[in-house]
Amino acid sequence: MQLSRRAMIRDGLLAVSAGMIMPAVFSRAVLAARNAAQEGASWAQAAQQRTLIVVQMAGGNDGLNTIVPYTDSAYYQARPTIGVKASDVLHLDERVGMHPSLASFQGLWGQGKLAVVEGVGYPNPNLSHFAAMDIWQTLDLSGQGSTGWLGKYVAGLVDKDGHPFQSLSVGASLPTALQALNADVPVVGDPKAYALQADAGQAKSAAEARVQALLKLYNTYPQSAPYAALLDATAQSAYSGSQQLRDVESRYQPQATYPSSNLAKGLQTLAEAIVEGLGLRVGYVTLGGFDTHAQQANTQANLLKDLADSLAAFYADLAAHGASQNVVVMTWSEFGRRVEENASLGTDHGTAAPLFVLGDAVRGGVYGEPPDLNHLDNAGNLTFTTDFRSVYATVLDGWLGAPAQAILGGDFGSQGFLQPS
Amino acid sequence: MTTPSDPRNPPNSLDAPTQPVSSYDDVTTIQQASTVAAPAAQASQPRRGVSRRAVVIGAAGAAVGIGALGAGAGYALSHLQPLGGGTSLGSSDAAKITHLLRRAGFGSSPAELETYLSLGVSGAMDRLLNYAHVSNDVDQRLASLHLPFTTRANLVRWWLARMTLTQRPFEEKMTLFWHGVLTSSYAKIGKSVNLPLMIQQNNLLRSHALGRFDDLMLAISTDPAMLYWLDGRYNTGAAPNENYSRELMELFTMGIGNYTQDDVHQGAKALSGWVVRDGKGIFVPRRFYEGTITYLGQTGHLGLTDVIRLVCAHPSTPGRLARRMWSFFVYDNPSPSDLQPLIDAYHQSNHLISAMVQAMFHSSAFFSEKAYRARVKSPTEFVVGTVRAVGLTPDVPALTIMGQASAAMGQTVFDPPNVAGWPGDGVSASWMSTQAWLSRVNFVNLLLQGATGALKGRREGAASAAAAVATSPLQQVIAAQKLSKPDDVVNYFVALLLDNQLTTDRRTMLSAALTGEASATGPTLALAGGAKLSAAALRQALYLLMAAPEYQMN
Repeated sequence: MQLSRRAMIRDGLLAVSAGMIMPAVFSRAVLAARNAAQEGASWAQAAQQRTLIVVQMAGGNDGLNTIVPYTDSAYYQARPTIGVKASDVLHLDERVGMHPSLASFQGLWGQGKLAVVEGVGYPNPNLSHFAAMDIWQTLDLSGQGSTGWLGKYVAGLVDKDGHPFQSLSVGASLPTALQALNADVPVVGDPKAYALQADAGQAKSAAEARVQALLKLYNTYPQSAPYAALLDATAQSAYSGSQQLRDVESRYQPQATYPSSNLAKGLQTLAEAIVEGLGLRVGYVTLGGFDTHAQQANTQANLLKDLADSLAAFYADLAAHGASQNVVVMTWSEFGRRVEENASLGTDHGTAAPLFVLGDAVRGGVYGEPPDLNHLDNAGNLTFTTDFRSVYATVLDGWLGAPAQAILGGDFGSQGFLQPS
Repeated sequence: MTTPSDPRNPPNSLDAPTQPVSSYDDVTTIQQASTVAAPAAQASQPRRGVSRRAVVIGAAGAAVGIGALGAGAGYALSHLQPLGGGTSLGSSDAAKITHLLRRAGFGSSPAELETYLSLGVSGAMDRLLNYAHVSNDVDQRLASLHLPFTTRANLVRWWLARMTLTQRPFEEKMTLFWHGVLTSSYAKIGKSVNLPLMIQQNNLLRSHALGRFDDLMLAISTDPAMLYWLDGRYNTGAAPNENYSRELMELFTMGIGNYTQDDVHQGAKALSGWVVRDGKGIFVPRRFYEGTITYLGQTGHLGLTDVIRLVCAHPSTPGRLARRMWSFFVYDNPSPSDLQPLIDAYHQSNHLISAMVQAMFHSSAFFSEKAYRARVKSPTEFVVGTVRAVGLTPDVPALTIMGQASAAMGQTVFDPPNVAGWPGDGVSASWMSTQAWLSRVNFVNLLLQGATGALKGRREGAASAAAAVATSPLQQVIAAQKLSKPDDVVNYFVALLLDNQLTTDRRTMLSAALTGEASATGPTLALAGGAKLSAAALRQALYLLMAAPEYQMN
């Protein structure tokens, strides 16, 4: 785990390190071992090489037009104009099929490496983007939580090697799902820009002296100052991470043609971390723009195409590097959308929706229960059939070897979308 | 009160704008500053400015002529020693004023500092908050930059330039605040021909920034960019679109838990009928809902004005607004007692935003230890503030770099992540991540090369390197402030940027950088009195200052 100020204080390391810069990798490893001994909520990794990639589809993806119940007349009654025609649907089985823009998923589906989980949601759904996102990310159904489910997992990891990229979020800021007091998760926008630049014409020794002086300013910043721990942990992690990325950046060669989208670039960054053995356990990337209140057909089609094309390239890249057997990808969105289309050729906020899980370790198929389009709630929304926490439990327990009940705070069942290990 | 002359920079004297650069590595023209001194302000400085400064800098202050903070720099600065442990404002008026300038604006430029210091704390606050009295030539200065609203990048350049060059910093800061609350994005404005609608909205937020909240809400509800952003233009009585109705209650006013899904739906009916035509929000009666509506407990033929009246009068609205405001301007996670004066002001003033603002800035909490360096600077605050701090007047390429740097740090104005705006506006820790931190310190690294003429020197070759340094922004700061020793330069920026609140051991680390390896070779800056200072050494020291944790905080 990362060398957070809080952890340093707890372990009495601060007094030792004040005025000197301890090699970050070393101190993290020491700390990780101490944490393992001192804290109950830590776990060794059952599967050292395994990685979970989480793709957030922000804005509320219209699930009914993603996994289309093309044999259900209620679907076409509710969506006379924006419904996906049965003839356009990419059939998965006799009941449902994929939006045609997900064509790049067909290969994975054919190989039995793509699972769909239907009807995923939670009780008393909240139609607010932000409350719903908080519920999915913090597990607190009141929408008042602050610690993320993946953050809890990362905080408990024991990593003897002190990998800076045990977890990694792509973008500029950290998603709530990865936030936890004791988890310092690096955020990478562009791997090439993930470095401390030197002054013009600066000798290497002078540049290094400047970095060391700067880190000392962080290391000795008064602990009582607001966000002191955050600032220190961020600077240390950025420095050690940038050193490591610099070492691998020239080595990694993608073995697939990625689309030019930001999602694809982000997935490529995650592929680099996996292929180059940076110890990545959890990777996170977000694709936004799913809030399709109006004129949704083109918007959603473009987004779904980006999703499928990017993930197909990501999988192909990993497979070509011999790394796909170690990676499972899951998607999520804060809610699906209203069953009935609105007059703006769009859909308003809804509830339960399907999500995707893919990878070599996945057992392809359709899981969960299809929500009933003939029994909607008062607002005209679907009633969920599959608790989102059962999906989390499956990947935590069945894939990452982490104690799902401890992280989720209860037993919410599991889903059958993973191959027996 | 007597209004002193504007602390404005003299006109931009830049190279003709060159082609915008596409990456940091291509940057060659971030360079050239205005002349930094503020002659207009100095020439007409009222006498009381002197006595005020005497308070600021101690007993000998009156003997210091009307000039910049650092006139007779070593002397004046010697009276500005760190107070306390270096983490609170103590009783220093100068420190309070620089703190205030960061919160109510984007920090001080060297040219402005003297004017604000001369006004004292209450005078500076009055000038900042009551900006309608302050003349502003920013529109002329923007016009000279030639930034047509035909590209997204130009919108960003335009506002960053405005924030950097304005003589009314609080006007821009309030506009930035509202942009984070009543937000919209150029990503959902349709064709690029509609991009000016984003500026139109920006001007709407600016003109209503301190007025009656109801008026602001009424205006933004039919603002074209907002009608695009939250689909109001699709909302008809026959088929209500809930998007704006929901966010109006959830995010803009009352907050979640105070309304039902039926209120969302009924509210959409009452708000129906608006479309965008010829760049204006137009009401089309036949698109409006004709029947009776029950909304937030009221029944009748309700429309836009009724909805706005009800949400603005809702008892939970002022508290949520106060929280957003306090978190943005003072510190994260305020207590109910912090917010109560703002809520009272809202009620007592019949919903005047200016009354809430006055209550907030005049609260004792504003200058408290808890507020001091309590918020992580936003990317916009960091980028604009740092450019201003080194006395650089940005040209188009510099504005391009500012926009790219801010984006890499996690904020692009006119492009919020979603309808809730930037999470960092509420919880400033959200602004900090490893990528954001690297982007911040790398921006400092690049900016200091521009501010010492190194980029220009490199571009134009060795022969002109000395001239590039001699006309560089930091050389002009040194000359205007009459800084005569290397440590004076560091101390000047510690006063300007860190309120002189830096512990001795940390100040020593900055000074040590002045004499390190970097000082041995390369171009030099001329200190007052004839001594030389290695430009590379100064960059080394100022880099540590601006990359330090203290400077990441606002």
